[in-house]
Amino acid sequence: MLTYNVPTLFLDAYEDTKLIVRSDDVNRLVASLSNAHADRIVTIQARSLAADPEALLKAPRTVPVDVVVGEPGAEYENIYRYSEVARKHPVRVSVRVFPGFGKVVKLAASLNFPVKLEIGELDRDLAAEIVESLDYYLHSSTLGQPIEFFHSVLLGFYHNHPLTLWQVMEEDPAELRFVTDEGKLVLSERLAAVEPGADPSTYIDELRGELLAEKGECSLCRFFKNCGGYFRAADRKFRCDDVKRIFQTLRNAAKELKHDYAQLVTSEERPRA
Amino acid sequence: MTIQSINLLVKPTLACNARCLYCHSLKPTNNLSIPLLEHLLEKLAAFTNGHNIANVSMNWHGGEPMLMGSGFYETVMELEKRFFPHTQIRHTMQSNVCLYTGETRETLLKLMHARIIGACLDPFHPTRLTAQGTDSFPQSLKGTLALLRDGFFIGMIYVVHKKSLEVVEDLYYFFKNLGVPSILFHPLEEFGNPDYHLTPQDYGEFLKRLWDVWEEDDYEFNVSPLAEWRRFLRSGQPCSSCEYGAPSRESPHIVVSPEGDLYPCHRFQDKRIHCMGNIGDLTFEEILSHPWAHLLSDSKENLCSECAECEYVSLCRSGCVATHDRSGKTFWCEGLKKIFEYVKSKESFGDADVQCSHAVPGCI
Repeated sequence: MLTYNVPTLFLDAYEDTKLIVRSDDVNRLVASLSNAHADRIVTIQARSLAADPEALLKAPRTVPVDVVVGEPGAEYENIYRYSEVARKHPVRVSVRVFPGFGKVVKLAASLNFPVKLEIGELDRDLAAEIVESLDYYLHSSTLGQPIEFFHSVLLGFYHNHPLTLWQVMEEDPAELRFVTDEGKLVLSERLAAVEPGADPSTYIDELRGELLAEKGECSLCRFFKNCGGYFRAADRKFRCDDVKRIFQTLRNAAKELKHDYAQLVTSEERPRA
Repeated sequence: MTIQSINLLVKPTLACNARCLYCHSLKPTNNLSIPLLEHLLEKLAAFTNGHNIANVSMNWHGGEPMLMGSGFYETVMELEKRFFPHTQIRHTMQSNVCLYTGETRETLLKLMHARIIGACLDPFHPTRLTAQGTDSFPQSLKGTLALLRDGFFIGMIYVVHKKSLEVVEDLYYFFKNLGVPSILFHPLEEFGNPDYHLTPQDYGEFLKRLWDVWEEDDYEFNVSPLAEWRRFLRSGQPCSSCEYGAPSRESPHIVVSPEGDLYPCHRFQDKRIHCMGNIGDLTFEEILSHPWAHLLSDSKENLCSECAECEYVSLCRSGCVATHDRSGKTFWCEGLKKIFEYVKSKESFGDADVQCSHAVPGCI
C-alpha cells in the first residue's frame, strides 16, 4: 500500500492509503489522531520547533513523530522539548542540510534521537559539512542512534546488500508520494518540480534506464547501486565528486568493520593458553 | 548409465534481426516447422517417460529465437501439455532481447516459468548492429530492462574484442550497474577485422585487467569465467562451465538445428561439423549412443599430452572443445596461461589460502 505525505488539511482526501500527516502546528497533528482515518496514520511530522510539543503527550494514541528542523536560525534548541515527548512516542529528528546543520545533528544525536539528513541542493560547503557529520557518525564513541543516510548505506556495504538513496531517504515513489500544501501530488518534496510521468511508481526504474542508456558517469559509477541516480534526478549536471567521497568513506568503514569482526571471531575461536 | 536430466538446445531459426559484425549464424535456412517440432517433442517425451527422467530443459537459441513470434511458442506450450502431462519442461532462451515486447513478451512469460534467459550487449562499441546498420544497443538495453522488471534472471554475455581492452573497468561497472546477476566475458573468435581481432595474448591481458577491477570491488559481481576459477582456487570446487569444467554424461546436451539435424554443441552446428543425424531418423536412445553424443565430456577425459601435463589443467581442462587445434589444445591457451599465472601470483592466493581438494588431476 502506498504512503502519502499530506498536510493535515487533506487528511480525508486520500482513502485506502497509509498517511504521514504534517503540520507546523502540533495541536493540529494531535487532532488528526482523533480523525476517522487516524488508524491509517503511520507517522506525524512536526514541521516547526516554535510550538510547545507538550500536546503530543495527550495524543489519543502512540505514533512515530518526525520532527523536521528546516532552516538556519530556527530555534533548534527546542529539540530538547521532544525528550519528554519521546516517553510516549518514538521521535526522529529530520535535519535539512543548510549551513551550520551539523550543530543540530550533534544536538539531536546527543539527546539520543535517531537523525535523518534531508538533502536538497548540495554545494561544496554543504558537502564538507556532511563529511564532518559523517566523521561524527563513524567515530563518536557516545552515539547511540543511527544517522541516516549514513547508517543504511554503511549496513548496505557491510552486508553487500545495497539500498539506494531513494529507499534510504524515503523518496521511492513506488512506496511514498508527497502532496504539496496546495494539494498537488508530486514525486517527493525535493522533486516537486520534476514531471512524474504517467505512472510515478516506475519513475526510478525509468530514470535508471535513461542513465544507463546515456552511458555516462552514472552507468560507470561504482556507487550507482547505492545511489540510483538520486542526485541526477533533480539536476542531470550534478557533480558527484563529493557524494562519491562520502560513499567511499562509508565503504572503507564497512570493510574495516568486517575485517575487525573477522579478527575478533578468529581470536575468540583460538584456544586460550 | 542413468540419465538424470536432458538438455536440448533448439535453434528454431538461424534468421536474425541483428547483424553482429562477427556472427557465424546468419545463413539462409528454413525455420523449424511445426510438424518437426511435434516430432521432436513426441520423441523426447517417449524417451524421458521410458527412462523416468523428470528434468527436461529446452534452451531456445538461434539465430534469434524471438523472431519465431508468440504463435510458435504458444504451439510449444500446447504440445508440451499433450506430450508431457506430468513433467514441466524448463524453457530458457538465448536472445538479443530486442524483440521482448508485446505479444512475444506475454507468451514468453507463460512459457518460461524459471525466468532464465541469456542476453548479449556491447555498450561501448558498435559490434552488434540492427539490420539497418545502426547500433542495436538501445533496443537490447530496453529489452534487458524489461526482462529485469519481469523478474528474469539474465545471464549476460559480452563478446570480448580488441577494443574491449580500452574499457575494461567501464565494462565491469556498466554490467554491474545494469543489475544483471552475472556476466560472461566470452572471447571473439575467428574474426579478421584488425580493429576487433583478438589474439590469445589480448584475451589474457583483458582478463588480467578485469581481475584487478573485480578484486578492487571485493569480487562482488558474478564474473565468468573468473568466478569459477576463483571458487576452484579457494575451495576446490570444480569449474562448472562446459569450457572449463567436465560436462556430465548423466546430463546430456543435444543441439537441434531448424532442419532437425543433431549436434553435441551449438558451436559445431555453427560450423556444420560433428552432425550426428536427424531427429526424423533417430530415437533419443540412438542419438545418445552415437560416438559424438558425449564428445564434450570425452574430450575432457582424454586430454592431449601437453594439456594433461600442464600445471593449469584443473582450471582449464583444455577449454572449449570447439576452439581446439589439431593437437587438442585450445586456441586461447597462451592467454589463459597468462591469466592463470597472474592469479596464482596474487597475494590472496598464497599457499596458505589455496585449499585445493585435489578432486581432479593436476590440481595446482
